[in-house]
Amino acid sequence: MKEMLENIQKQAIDDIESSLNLKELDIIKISYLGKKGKLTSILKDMKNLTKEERPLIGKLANIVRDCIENKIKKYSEDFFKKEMIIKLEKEKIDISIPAKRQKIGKRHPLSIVLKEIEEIFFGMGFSVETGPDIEQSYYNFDALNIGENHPSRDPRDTFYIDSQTVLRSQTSPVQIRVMENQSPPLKIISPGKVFRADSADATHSPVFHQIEGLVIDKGISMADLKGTLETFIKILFGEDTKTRFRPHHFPFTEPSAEIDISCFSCNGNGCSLCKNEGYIEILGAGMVHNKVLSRCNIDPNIYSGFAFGMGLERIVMKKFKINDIRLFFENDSRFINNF
Amino acid sequence: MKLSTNWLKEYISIGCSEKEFSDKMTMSGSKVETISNQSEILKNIVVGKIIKISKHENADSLVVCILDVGACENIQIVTGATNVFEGALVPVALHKSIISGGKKIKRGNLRGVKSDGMLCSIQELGCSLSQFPYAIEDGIFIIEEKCNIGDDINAIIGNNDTVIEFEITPNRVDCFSIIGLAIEAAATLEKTISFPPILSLDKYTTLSPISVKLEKNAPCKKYMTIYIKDVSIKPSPKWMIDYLLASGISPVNNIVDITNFAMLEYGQPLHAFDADKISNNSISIRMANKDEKILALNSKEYTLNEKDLVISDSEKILAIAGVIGGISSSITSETKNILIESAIFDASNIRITSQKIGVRTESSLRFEKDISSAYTKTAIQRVCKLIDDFKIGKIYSKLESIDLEEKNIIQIPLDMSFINSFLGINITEKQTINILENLQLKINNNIITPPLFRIDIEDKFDIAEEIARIFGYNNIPSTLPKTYQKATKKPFEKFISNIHNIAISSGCSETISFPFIGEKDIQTTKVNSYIQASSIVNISNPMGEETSMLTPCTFIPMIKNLALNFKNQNKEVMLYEISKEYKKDKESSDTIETYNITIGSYGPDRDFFYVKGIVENILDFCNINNYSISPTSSIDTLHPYRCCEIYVGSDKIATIGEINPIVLDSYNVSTRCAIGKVNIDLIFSLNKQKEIYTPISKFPSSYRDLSLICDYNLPVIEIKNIIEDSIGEILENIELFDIYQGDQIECGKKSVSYNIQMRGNDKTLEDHDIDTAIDTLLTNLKQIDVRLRY
Repeated sequence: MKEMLENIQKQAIDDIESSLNLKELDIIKISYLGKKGKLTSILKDMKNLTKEERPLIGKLANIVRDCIENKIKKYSEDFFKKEMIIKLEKEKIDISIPAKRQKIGKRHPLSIVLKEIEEIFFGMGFSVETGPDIEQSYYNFDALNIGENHPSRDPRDTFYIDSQTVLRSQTSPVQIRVMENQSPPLKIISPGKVFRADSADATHSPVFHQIEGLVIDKGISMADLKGTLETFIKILFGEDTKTRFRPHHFPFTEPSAEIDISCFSCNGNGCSLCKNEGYIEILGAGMVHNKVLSRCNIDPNIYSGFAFGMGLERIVMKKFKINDIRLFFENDSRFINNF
Repeated sequence: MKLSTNWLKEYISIGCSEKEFSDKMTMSGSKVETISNQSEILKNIVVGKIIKISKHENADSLVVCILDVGACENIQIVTGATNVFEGALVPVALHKSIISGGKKIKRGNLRGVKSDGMLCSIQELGCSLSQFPYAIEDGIFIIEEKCNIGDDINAIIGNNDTVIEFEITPNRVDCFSIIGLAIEAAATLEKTISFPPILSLDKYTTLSPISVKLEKNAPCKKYMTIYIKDVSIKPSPKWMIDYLLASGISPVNNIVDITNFAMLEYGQPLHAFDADKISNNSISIRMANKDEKILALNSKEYTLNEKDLVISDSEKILAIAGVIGGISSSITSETKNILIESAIFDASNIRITSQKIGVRTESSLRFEKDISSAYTKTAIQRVCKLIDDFKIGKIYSKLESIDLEEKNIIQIPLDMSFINSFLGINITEKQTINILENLQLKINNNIITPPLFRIDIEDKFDIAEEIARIFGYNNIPSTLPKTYQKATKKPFEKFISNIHNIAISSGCSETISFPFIGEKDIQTTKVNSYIQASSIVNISNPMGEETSMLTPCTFIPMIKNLALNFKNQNKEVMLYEISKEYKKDKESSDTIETYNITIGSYGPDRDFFYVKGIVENILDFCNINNYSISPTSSIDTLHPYRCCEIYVGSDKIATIGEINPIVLDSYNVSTRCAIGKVNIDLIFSLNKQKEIYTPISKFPSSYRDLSLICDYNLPVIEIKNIIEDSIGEILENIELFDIYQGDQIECGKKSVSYNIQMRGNDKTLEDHDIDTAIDTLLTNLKQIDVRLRY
């Protein structure tokens, strides 16, 4: 019995060592350890052994079984690894084949920059307010201290729906609506489409976008206006950007200013982008006119505030060096997918 | 406003370069548009003396001049002019020179003879005959000025002025004058100003021979005249002509030039009438009669009506008030006696008349900006002073004046603490008073009185503005508001931003379109099949028919965008836009603006189902699942068999379809295009974002695959609805994985195959649970004639 077991072990080891693949190894496993396997059938003869022999042979049989099993396990692992290497190699792909993907669409360049501007102001505590495109002329003009004879009311400048209704020519009516409906402190920006009766050319468009801002509280000063806009400009155009505040006139602010920034194309040295001035005008601003405050029932002797406005297209054109405003509204996918 | 710096320097010394001066003026509120230095226009042109003139060997009409131009060697120039002679002094444009108009002159060859440059006419130097009356119009300028050979021509013709053009803001009409800008310059540079000399008229007491009548309700506040006798009409002195030309005004004769000169100085328009042409020695300021005509100074005839203010005598209109004079009473070389007018006419009346007849003059430009009456008298005194100085006439009458102006003296307390806190600066009272006084404001016992010409200054805010701009905006510190205000994003703003993200992640790129459309678009897109003309918002003053309406349907701009992309041969195009539709409410006729997202696409697989998928993603995001989707035939814009509408209750929330090929054809698009739109305002109100989580089952799922046979025309959604109803709450997912019709299926039928996944919430589903559910399903399906395919 002992000899037989040792023979089986030897035979099995030989068989395993000469096996070539997992399949052969499987057959070997069955032929020794299966229900009808060689080792299994020998063990069936255990019942013929003496009481003394049985535990000894039993022990030996277990050792033989363990030995075969371990050997098979080791070979099986090796074969698996080898075969896997071959299998994986066969699965080689050309990784340069185009991906299966739904390409992500692009936001319009005006939206990209508008979002950036909104985020900057959001960080400074400004919320976004919006208003209708079709606006009462009271909100578009009268409430903003724009006189009856002001040229901007001319039908050659502003689109009218009827004598009392216009397509807003600025987003400032939103400021009035906010001042009427909310009480100070106020800190808002109002972005949106505006409409002016300009024929379209490289720098004019009958529809464009403005972003206006308004801050009203006790003790707001012109220095606050400067600080706020300088902060905004530095974030949007870079820390090194220089700003220049020039006196100007708007009916709805006093004092009023136009704000130039150092040309980001030539750093103020003069180039075609800034028409050799070194500066580019990008914002209009000022302290909210006391007459505008009074009309909205805000006492200008208690409260003060500032407002500012900028044209989005102008900023985006300068930023991306786009030379024709009409490209924004033509909607050629090649243009939009640029960004 | 063009400012001659030579003229300005008569009243103030600027003490710095013109460039520096311009920068300072810009920063104190008078924005400089351009600076042009006259001496930089003409280059390399010198005085030359013609030594010898000889015939041109190849051309009878040309001569060859040998010239001494003050260089080592004489030069030769070929010219066709006939007025040259040996010994004449002429302007010579040398090799590499620039003449008026920017034209470059180089050495060349004229019919085989070398020419070292060009001899110049008066026009080629940018001068006019009025400056040099002895010159001739077509011929070389034979110089009679005092000069030396080789002198730069600029010095000889007096091109030494620098003209600065200012942008004047509408509130500062006083700056449409040399004096106005001089006062600004004085405040900016902290210099003193000396005002031009004027004549005191107190000694003149004779009544004017011409009586003036101001008709009731005529829009004229002030009308002053003075009668001047025995004028001698001739050209003005060169210095005055130079100033006028630099300011953009052509010289006429000494009297007209003096009125223009005084107008430029003070911003007060003046007019001179030939007094002997005024019938019956009386004029009236009245409204024109209907169809009354006048032949104006520009030789054009204008027909006026009751809205136009005129100056007339008993027979005819002498002038359109404030706009333009008439020829009948104009100053001519025969004029002996004149009447000078200085008046204040109503701004809007002048503007309307000037616009209507299409005449804008230096006078109307000033009147329509609502000038003050501060200088109405001073300007006449200045005219009288010049006439007196030039000895070209005798002041005869006293100053006749009609003055209906209400005097409104403004007094503003000086409030230092307001100025400092409002501007955020720290300026002393002394500095403040200094600034205000330089601007000609009077301060007495802390009460500020603005001068009459500063009609824009009314209150302490106006004072703060004056301080701010002269103090210098760039000297104001930069601080941040102390206001604590928490910024919030509105739910709608966040919602829109999510809709953008869904569209982008579906592959669409954002467009921004004009909302303008025209009647033709309504017709070609067949939007009129579902939108009534009465609900369209029209623009009353459109720029053209094609942009005369606000779009009532965002399909229109999207179709145009797709068409443009197709025309530009862009292969695969997926676009979206979040924009408004504009409609008129039928009852209230209020306008309604509705936000929509519009999707448009063409290209491989960019079909109806692509757009439907994006719409479903949007509805999924909103957790809107109680919608019904149904075909429609009422929208002619879309393919009648490839379109649908999505409803929640009675609200139409979305429309999807392929664009009708007939519509595409009119836009020259020959590919299938799919389009869809979702009413964002509606889905925002229906949208319910998850607030409490639904627990997920921990039990395993089971599935069944079913192949069903049904009528070919049966919408599969009906099968889906029955599956949902029949399986009930254990249903986890339905997937339609195959639709087949063909050989193995009987005619008029189709096979649809579903994978139905089920899962219990509280237990592992047993076979019989599933069988029961499927049995119920099959029974229910029979009712719509759907059976299992064996």
